[in-house]
Amino acid sequence: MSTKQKIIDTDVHHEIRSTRDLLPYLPDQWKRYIAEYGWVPERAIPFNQVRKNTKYRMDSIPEDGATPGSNFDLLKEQLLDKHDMSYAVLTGWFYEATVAKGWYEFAAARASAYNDFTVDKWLSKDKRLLGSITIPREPEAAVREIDRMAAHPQMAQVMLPIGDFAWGDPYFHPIFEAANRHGLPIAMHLSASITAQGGDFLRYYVAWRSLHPQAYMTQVISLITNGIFDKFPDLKVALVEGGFEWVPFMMHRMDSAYKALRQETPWVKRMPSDYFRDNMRFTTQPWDDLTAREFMNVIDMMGSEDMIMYASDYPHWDFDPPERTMPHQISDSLKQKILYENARDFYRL
Amino acid sequence: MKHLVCHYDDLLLTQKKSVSIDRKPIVVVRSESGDVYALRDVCPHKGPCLSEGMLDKSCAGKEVGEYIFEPDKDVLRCPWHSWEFDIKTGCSLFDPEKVRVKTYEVTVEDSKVYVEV
Ligand code: FES
Repeated sequence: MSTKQKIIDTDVHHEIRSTRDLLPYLPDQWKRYIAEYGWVPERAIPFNQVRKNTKYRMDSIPEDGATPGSNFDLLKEQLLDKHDMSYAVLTGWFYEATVAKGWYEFAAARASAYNDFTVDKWLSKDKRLLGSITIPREPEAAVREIDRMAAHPQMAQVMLPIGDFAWGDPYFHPIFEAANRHGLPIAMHLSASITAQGGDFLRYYVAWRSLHPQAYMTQVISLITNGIFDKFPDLKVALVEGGFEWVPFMMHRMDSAYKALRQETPWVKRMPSDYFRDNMRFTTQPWDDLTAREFMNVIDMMGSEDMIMYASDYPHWDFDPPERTMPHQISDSLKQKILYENARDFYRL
Repeated sequence: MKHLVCHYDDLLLTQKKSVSIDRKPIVVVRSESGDVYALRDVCPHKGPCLSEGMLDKSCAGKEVGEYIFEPDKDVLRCPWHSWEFDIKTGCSLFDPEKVRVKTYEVTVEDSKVYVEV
């Protein structure tokens, strides 16, 4: 890879040290739940990683012992500067405000506070950082939050975390309408609330991690069959950290189902694989140690070189550095697309 | 050639130390039983220093639900994707034949640790 390779990282988890970081951005009504009443977010996932620092890179802890990803200077050093990134998209790690069930008023306040925190403590510090708008799940409040944040020049997308419900349902369409109205793409990233088919967790972390693509499949099927891309043909959706090897499989499977069953969803006007190619993007991390040949087979089956964008997942344990993500036999022009151009076009940079 | 890399006592507190010999990055580690080993300080997967990772113990099991803690099997765990390497042989636990880290001979004389490179 040439040294001048430009890079956009589409999945960087900046973090709060604790929910107390949100206090300056919360109205008094809600502040006291954290400051005085001892409210803490529900811990959804019943697993722990097999190591110290659980889900984080072991070398990403700031000197003061704070949460990895919570220190701008260290993130700048270990990610932006070390890998000479043009842009890094902050995807945060505050999906609980979106996937939380019930009490949407407080969830909406937390989402707003997190957005203000992101602008104040992160986006203002470095022009290379782009942000994701965190929303509550309740559509009316979500639209209000999108309308409030969309004007910020570094807010690059609306984040829809993946939990145990499908976002394509017409109930959620106002959210897609709002993103589309502001010309913002959508990103979907797994939350800690992904459960397996059947609604329960499998017994082990290794099982939970392996089945993440199942949840992403659910989302893309839901978006397409509910006509999201027929309603909003220009809307783009990035499916972040859910793998991509399964994508050609699902493109073919949905096409074949559509040929036989089209009449059930007549509002879907195009072949499902067309929406994959035109409206959806997938990210590299976690790179599942594919060889160049295996990877090229996937690209060939997708029928497009434009669908995959590089992501590091910093500071999480399964971080992939840009220089070491793809096997070196992959052509420079394709690497260039994956490391930079596809994301540049997706975010219209 | 033997190179003096540290004092044995240096390894009592941290159990591992990164050193450089002829510009080769090497991690020196001390097992629970007190023996010292040296491995190349580069993860063969994606390249971070193994010395940034952790010394840990292995775990075995034959039946579903059986966890046998192996206090004598020291592993060096990569700071990124958690691959485990046996500190005595440098072999990964998931594919010992194919995926391994180079090891170096270590001698301890008069409380001084030497690595053969
Ligand atoms: S870089 Fe060491 S396990 Fe991946």
